[in-house]
Amino acid sequence: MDSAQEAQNREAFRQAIVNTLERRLFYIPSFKIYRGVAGLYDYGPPGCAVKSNVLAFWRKHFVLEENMLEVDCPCVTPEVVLNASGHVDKFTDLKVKDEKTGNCYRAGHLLKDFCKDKLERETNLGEEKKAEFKHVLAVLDDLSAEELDTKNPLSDPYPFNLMFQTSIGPSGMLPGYMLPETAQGIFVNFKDLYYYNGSKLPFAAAQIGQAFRNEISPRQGLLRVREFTLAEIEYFVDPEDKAYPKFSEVAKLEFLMFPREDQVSGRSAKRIPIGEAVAQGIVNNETLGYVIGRVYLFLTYLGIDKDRLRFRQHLANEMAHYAADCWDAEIECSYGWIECVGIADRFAYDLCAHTDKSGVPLVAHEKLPEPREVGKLVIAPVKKELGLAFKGNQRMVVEALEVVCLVPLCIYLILRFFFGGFEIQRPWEKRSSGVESDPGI
Amino acid sequence: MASSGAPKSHIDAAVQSLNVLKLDKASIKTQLQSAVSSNTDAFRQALVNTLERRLFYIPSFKIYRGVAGLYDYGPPGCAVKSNVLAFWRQHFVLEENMLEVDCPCVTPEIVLKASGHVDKFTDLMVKDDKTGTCYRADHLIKDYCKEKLDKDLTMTPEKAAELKHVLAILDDLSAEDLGAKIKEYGITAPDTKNHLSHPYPFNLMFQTSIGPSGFSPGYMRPETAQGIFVNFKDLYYYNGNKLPFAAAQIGQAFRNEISPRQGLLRVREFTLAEIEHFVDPQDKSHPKFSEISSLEFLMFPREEQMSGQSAKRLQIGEAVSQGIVNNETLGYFIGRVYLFLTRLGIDKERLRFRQHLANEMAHYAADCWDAEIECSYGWIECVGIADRSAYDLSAHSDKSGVALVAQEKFPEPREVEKLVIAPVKKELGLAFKGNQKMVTEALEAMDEKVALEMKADLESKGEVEFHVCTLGKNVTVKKNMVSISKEKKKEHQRVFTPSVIEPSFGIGRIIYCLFEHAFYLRPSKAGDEQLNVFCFPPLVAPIKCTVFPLVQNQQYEEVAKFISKLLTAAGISHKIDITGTSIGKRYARTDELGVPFAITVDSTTSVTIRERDSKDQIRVNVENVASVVKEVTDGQSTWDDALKTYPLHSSGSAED
Repeated sequence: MDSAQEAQNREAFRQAIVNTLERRLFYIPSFKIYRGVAGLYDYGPPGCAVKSNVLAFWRKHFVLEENMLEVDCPCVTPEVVLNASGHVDKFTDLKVKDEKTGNCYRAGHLLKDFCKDKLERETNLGEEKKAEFKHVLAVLDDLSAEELDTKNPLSDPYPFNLMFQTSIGPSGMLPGYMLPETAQGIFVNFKDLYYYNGSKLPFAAAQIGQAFRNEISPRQGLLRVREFTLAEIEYFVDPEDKAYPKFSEVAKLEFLMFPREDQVSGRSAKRIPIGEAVAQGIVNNETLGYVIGRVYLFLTYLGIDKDRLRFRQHLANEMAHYAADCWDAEIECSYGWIECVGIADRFAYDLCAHTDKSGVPLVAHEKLPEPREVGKLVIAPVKKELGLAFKGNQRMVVEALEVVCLVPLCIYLILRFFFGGFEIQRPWEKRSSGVESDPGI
Repeated sequence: MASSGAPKSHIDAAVQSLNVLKLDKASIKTQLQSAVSSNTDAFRQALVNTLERRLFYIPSFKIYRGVAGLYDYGPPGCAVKSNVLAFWRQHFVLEENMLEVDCPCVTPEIVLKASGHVDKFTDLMVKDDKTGTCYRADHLIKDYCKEKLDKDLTMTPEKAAELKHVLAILDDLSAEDLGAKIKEYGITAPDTKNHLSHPYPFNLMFQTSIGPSGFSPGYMRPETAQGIFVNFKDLYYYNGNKLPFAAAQIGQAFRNEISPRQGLLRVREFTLAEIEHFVDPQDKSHPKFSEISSLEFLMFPREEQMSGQSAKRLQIGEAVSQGIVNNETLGYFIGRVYLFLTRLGIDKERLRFRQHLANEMAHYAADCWDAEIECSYGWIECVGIADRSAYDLSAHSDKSGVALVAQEKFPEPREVEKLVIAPVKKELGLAFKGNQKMVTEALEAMDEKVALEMKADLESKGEVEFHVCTLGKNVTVKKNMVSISKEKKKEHQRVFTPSVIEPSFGIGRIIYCLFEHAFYLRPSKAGDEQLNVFCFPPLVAPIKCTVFPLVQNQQYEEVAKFISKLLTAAGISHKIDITGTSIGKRYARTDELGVPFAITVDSTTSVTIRERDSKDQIRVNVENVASVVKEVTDGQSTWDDALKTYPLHSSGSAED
């Protein structure tokens, strides 16, 4: 079958399923009687029931099974929290504006569509041109605002923050945002949760909640929407000991994995037992491997076809600099391979960022059976000298140094992973800026 | 006395002693009040300390010094909440086959314009002139009046009566009235004593902007109901075009409160569970009403409130038949809400259904009842049950142009007399030029009574003054401009806008009241300290059971882990505690989380199960323990049944 025929079949299949879903009220565009709002959907009775079954199973499979600490934090979040996490500065997409109508588009999307269109339709394309388009598609996420300029009658690309902004309280002086992910609510509570857990590591905290992203141009139905349900888990572990006691329970599972090496060398995904992947160092550590195995079980129990499910490792350019290793559970559907669950070893980044901004140390302690003698770096700012040298700026300089002291204390690895809700088709694609779920790059 | 001719001196003496008694009574009353309120404060302090220390809930973003009116549920609170919501789903959605939906929180402006929220969802606010701090005007006046009434013993009876009157009518006062009262009483900013601004309306919705253009304003929804109303047409079709049916939704709602207070009771973001039951306005009977009609509970009808009586026990069946509750469907939901709340563990003596007074209700509402729960803050509205008539659906029909109506097909066509209003466009055009359209629309919108009056006037006088609200003035309508007649028509169906009966649950408020009703203190075995206990029913308990090895050794730990596996397989949330602390301390810890059962491993073959409130223990085989706990927590059997089946274990000094 040629590729055009295949695309047509795919289109027909999708049309049939979407018709059924909307007719039987699995989901429908929200506010339809007012002609709707792009990127907002309602779950009708059957969809709502599927969603609550998926969430109930998620709770059972993860929270109950692992004795996780579930929390429930508000969506309205003051600016200071999202400043610390990096979202206020970096959670942006590059957008372009039609200079006449004022319509906005995602610059990355336009470029992607252009390249794909050219590659599929123009058979007489020169080999160099073809290679160039393919290259552009590959590096799309890394392009900066200048490189994205396509010389169309559009404005220059400029960053647009994807958070819904609002104002808390009547004064108008306290800006706030709707949470773009639920994880921050867990990080800021680390200290209390650690105490609740008897001041012991490892433990995991979980949250199910609404998240909000003011997408520039929502598309692909439920796959890229402006409001969605996230289920997130944060595992907190000792960075010096990422072994996991229950790893043996999943070690024999075998499923499609797509390591970095294979992607770069153009091979395809292959079946590897997760135990072997960890032993060979393909997956960074046991805890990460355990979670990958549990996610595999979760998705296949739900009814996801195991032959259309793979775990793809992030390439070096996709990962935040601080991350140790990232794997996405990708599910194949009519839109291609869609990232549905992200499993990332985020190192100590988030807790350090909040420690830094709030001044509250978010740290864990390990009591040593015997006192140990260690060589320790001691940074002691001499206030008097600094005062003389920096005058009014003295405090800032002192604090910056103290924060440097704190960093070695932030000894956690945080595995976080994201889940979409229903249909296992939820927005988790790359951002054009490469700063999607990894603020702070 | 005066009429019996007693000497004046006697009367004076009697009056004097009476006055002394009155004064005594007054001072005793104040003492009592302050004793009660200091007790209440102490109780609440102990409760809130426990709740926050055990992470039931904590102020959000604490490490950044928090934001007023935002709270996180920590692990046990989160579990209680999800148990309450699961039970709500079972008790309402499943039981009545409701259509559950799930709509976004971000809502475009037009939807909330139609519902009236953009224009009317406001509170009156005053600002500290110097610092800019904002307060709710009515709160300041309420606090002032209450404080005066409580503390000022020298106040004249007239003054006291006036303040009480102000408290009673507070909700009816306009911005001007409130401003005048603030001036009259010399109320200043509570924190700084600065002068206050005039009251002005502040919209309580969080505003935002949808999409990148900045031209599409949106709000975070202040209630979940609108998502159901705008989907009425699809839901009606989904239900086979049949009435009655109910739709339900659980979701977050947002209110940008001016000054959040009272912990979880008035917050800026909360979970609502709402039901919209759509019925034919001509038939509000309910087929299952008889199932709950003999329930009897505290009701507080309008009459009793007006005449200063207190709430009384009424059978809901009787309340409906006497017309105290407007209709059967409303009565049915009141009964179901009563069952829901009491099964969660709300004390039925501290739960009442209070009818809205005429001035509390929206003009379109047929009848409203609030389920109020008494807690240390007084009687708190936790569930509102309102018959909102056709208001919401009509409003969205008007604004969207999509008819949100239901049809009833007649078995046989019926002959009906119908009012026909036919404006004569040509004449109207000549007379009103550019305003023609407005006049025509106003004429067509006349109800039957107004139209028939106009018809009579036009026939007798030839012309009539007619108010056109879209023009804001009267126009003269002449006889040749409109024809009004009644015609007989054959109709095959009746088209109407359904009435909506709306039970709306503030989940956070219910949970807070539940915490208060479940909390008690009991002395430790040694009697040297007070221990905190939450007596949650197993249904809502955050953790159903704990597992302890009696002493730290490997054998017992393995048994504990084995039991833990069985419990996980049975789907029972539990916690293992293998710390070396004394068993008494470990019991105290779980009592404080409201865990109903504790399994203590004191041998490798059999273990004990201890019930939280009675502290009774039974001995059960290791293999059976999970199924016993499951039966009791699922409600298939009771602890009393278990006591009869399994041998009682005398704990001796285990609790120490």
